[in-house]
Amino acid sequence: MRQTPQEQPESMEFPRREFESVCFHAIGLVDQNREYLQMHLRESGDAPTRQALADMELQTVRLERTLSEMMDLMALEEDPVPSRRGFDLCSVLRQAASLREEMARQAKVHLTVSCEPDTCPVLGSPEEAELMVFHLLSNALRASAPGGKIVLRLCRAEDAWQLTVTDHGCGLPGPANWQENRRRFLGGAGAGLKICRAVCRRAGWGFALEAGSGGGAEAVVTLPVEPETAASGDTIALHAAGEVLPSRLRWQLERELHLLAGNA
Amino acid sequence: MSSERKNTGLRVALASYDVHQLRVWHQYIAEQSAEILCSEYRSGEELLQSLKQGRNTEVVVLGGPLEDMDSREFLERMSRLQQKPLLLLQDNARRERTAVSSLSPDGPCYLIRQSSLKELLASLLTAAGQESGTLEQRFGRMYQEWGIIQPDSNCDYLTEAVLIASQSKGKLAIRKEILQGVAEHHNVTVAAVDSGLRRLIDALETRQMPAWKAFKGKTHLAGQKVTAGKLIYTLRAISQEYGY
Repeated sequence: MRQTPQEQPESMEFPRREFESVCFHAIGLVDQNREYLQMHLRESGDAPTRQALADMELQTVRLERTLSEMMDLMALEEDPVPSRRGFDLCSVLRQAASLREEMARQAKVHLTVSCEPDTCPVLGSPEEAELMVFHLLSNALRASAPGGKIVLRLCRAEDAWQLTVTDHGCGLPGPANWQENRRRFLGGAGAGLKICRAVCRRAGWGFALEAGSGGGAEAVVTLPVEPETAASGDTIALHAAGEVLPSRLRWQLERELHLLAGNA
Repeated sequence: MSSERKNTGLRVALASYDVHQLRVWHQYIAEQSAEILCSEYRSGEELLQSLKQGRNTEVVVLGGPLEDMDSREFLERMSRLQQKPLLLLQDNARRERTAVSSLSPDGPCYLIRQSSLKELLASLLTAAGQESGTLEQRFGRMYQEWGIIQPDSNCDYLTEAVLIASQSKGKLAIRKEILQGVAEHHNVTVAAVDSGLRRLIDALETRQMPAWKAFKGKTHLAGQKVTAGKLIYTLRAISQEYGY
């Protein structure tokens, strides 16, 4: 059929932003209605009803998290690389460190954060760096049993910075431990490592995942030392009612701990 | 003398294309707080018109796109209004950068990161704290913006004078009724109150802080010699707008 000049072929591109907007809106609304019901049934509802609502809460968090992960991965694969700007990688690690007590309380996992320099100016996208650190820690948390240890370390190695995340958990999947590995990671979409690799690729950083020397796993991110890089400031601080909101990394980790505690 | 707001409601406009969103917000807020009075808007155009007409909306809660415009367009147009309400922007953590980037740096905005009802209410109550309180508290914040460090006894005289003037529908004699009342309340002479108010006005006119200039522009005091009487009755009109 001939097309008039006004007719344009319909775009075959996946309407990612609209899809994201509708899905997150609907998830938010489901969760608010759950919250409303929970408020009303707190005193009058029986135990199975209250349990059902608690389960609904957990599953909306899981749904939201999984959708976020997929959207993040798509964005990393499709969107242009953002312009690099200076930021302090140590500040990202400090955000993670601020949740040490919460991790010990909820997941019974001990987190050690070791930052050899006081500041570590690097070039890249601070938002994507936060995303990477979140997924590395999330994987380490899932792999770890209660009583486990995770070490997040940043140090100088010759002419590069090295960020390592080490856990003593179930280790990389292999013939001996596939069932334990599967049990720990079932219920997740498994996109975390893909996201980490994509972030590193976009930033020009190295990424390797190895078996830990004492069992467990170790992720190593290698960042070039940038001469005369001035950190332009921490990632965007958003204000809520006159106070600074917790960063997205901290918020994501809090949500992750809630999810893991709920699945236990 | 002190005053509480006669109408203690915080006026909130709930805005979303989704009637289900509006319903759960409105229902929850109404059940949790009698102090918060909500109106619902699905149309951005309608809400902007209402804001332009100065219909006393103190807070806008925006939950994403509207029927006739996306949130970015709404935010840009709202930022151009002369009188901007407080904005609560409900957004999940994914879109916050986009949302924040479209906000005006001038208008106060609170971002609700999670979409929980509890957090929405907490943010509204915090915002309400900024918009309510006694008349003394509200005027105190205003004097600060005018560049007068609080507490200040001359500002206390002025607030007291407004409260006395507010007790009457008509106009009271400045010296004999209003300043006399202030002097008795503070246990000073009428002359002390009179000279205190003159010094206050002189200081405001000398400093010419932006908030003072904006206040004069809004209340038609710009271009006139500001006297104690004019200032007292202008502030009385404003206190009545606030609902005191």
